[in-house]
Amino acid sequence: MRLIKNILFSVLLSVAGQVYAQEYTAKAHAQFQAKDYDSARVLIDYAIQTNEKYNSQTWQLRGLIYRKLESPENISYREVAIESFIQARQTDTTQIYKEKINEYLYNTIIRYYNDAVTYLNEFKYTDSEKSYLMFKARYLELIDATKNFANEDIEYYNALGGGYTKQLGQLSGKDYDIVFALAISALGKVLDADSMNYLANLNAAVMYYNRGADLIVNQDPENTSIEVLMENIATAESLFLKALPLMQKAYAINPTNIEVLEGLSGIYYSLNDIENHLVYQTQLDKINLPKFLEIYQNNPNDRENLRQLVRIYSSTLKDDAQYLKFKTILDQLGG
Amino acid sequence: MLTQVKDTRSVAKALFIYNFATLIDWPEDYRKGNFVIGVLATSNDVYNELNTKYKGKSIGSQEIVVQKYASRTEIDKAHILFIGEDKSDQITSLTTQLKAKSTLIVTEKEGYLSKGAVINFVLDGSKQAYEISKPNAKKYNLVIATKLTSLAYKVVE
Repeated sequence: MRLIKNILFSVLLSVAGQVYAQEYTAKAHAQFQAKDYDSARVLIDYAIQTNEKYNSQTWQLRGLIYRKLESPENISYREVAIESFIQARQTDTTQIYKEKINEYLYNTIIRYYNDAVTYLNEFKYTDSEKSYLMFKARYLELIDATKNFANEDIEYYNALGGGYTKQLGQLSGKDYDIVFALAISALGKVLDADSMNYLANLNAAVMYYNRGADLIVNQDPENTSIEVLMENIATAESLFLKALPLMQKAYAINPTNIEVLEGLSGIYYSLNDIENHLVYQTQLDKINLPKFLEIYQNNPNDRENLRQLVRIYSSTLKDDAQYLKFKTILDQLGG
Repeated sequence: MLTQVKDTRSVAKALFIYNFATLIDWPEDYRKGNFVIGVLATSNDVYNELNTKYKGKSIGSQEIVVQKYASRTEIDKAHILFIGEDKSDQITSLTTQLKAKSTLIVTEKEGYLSKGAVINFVLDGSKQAYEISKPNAKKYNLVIATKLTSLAYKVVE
């Protein structure tokens, strides 16, 4: 089930054209067709205080009217619509509207999912998750109690985790810590549903690695005492050790992805495991070497590119002649 | 996403070296002029880190100068000499060369305290740590703060 906002189709007014025997319901329906939803609401609310409340169609119409009137300012109208459809279901004793009412309910409940997506795009992550959880709760309660949301959870929490991850770059201090925890929690939910999910493993590994590495490289050079340095090293190590199995899973799924290879190379390097660092750095360099050589062809004075070529030919893909060639050029350019 | 592989090892080593500078006392004749941190290594990583972050800072009243040596013959009076693993085989010559000086020799190769280093970078599991030789420190007239020895992975008495 892919519940994306843009595929939400408009609900056909299935009660349209039907003749209502009841006075207020019929009047409300007329106003509804005339698109005067406020008047329709007044009339339908009146209808449910009369004997018309025993008619399923009255409740169906009420749900449709309230759903039409729903807006960000009147978000509670959605719940009124849902409650109306529930009443419609209860008063449909012969169950002739069962399918239609279920469709109304589904198309109303899915709005919570669509809200979750909208909030995600607006970076309102807390509101987004609240809406997503509401969607799931209402779906289980009213549509299908046996529904398994594993696929939806994977899709949604990967997106949420990705959103939080993007936010981290602009944060520091406690705000960073809070959002980091939220991102890890979101990705953890994906991994609970699918421990071999590539994206969640990669993103979580990158987050742990970056956090550990940042802890080391962002230390105040002059005002970090040796005790603090050693504490930071220990904390960073624990983060690298958390990153490692996740990145290894990502590697098992996609062994030629540059980001995964960079990640493993970096994690092992930071864990002072140079042997393994070189294993992945060599794989990475094999992929990147043609690109570096092409850059050299186009711009032979690019010193950073020359440094990469010197590093590669002197360490991972050793070639003395090539090393000397690029080292000489680099030295001539000032190193 | 991964911004780039970060050189955490060199950052940690440079910060350790700076802390060594603040937690060791040099003899009187080393407390004047610049505070020289020398690097003898093929790789530029630790040198670049020291040079970028610590050059021009102070140890007491002494300004830090970071020097990269292409060979041991260039080394004269340095307060600290970091010898990269790939130049470790020069330690015997260096200890002879620096015999009459007060240079804190820092290495990063297993077993190098026994070869004359005062401090040697080692791994504690996968964590960067260091070990200290008190007898070697004494040879070079260096006084090591208790804090530094108490946090060391190993101390040779």
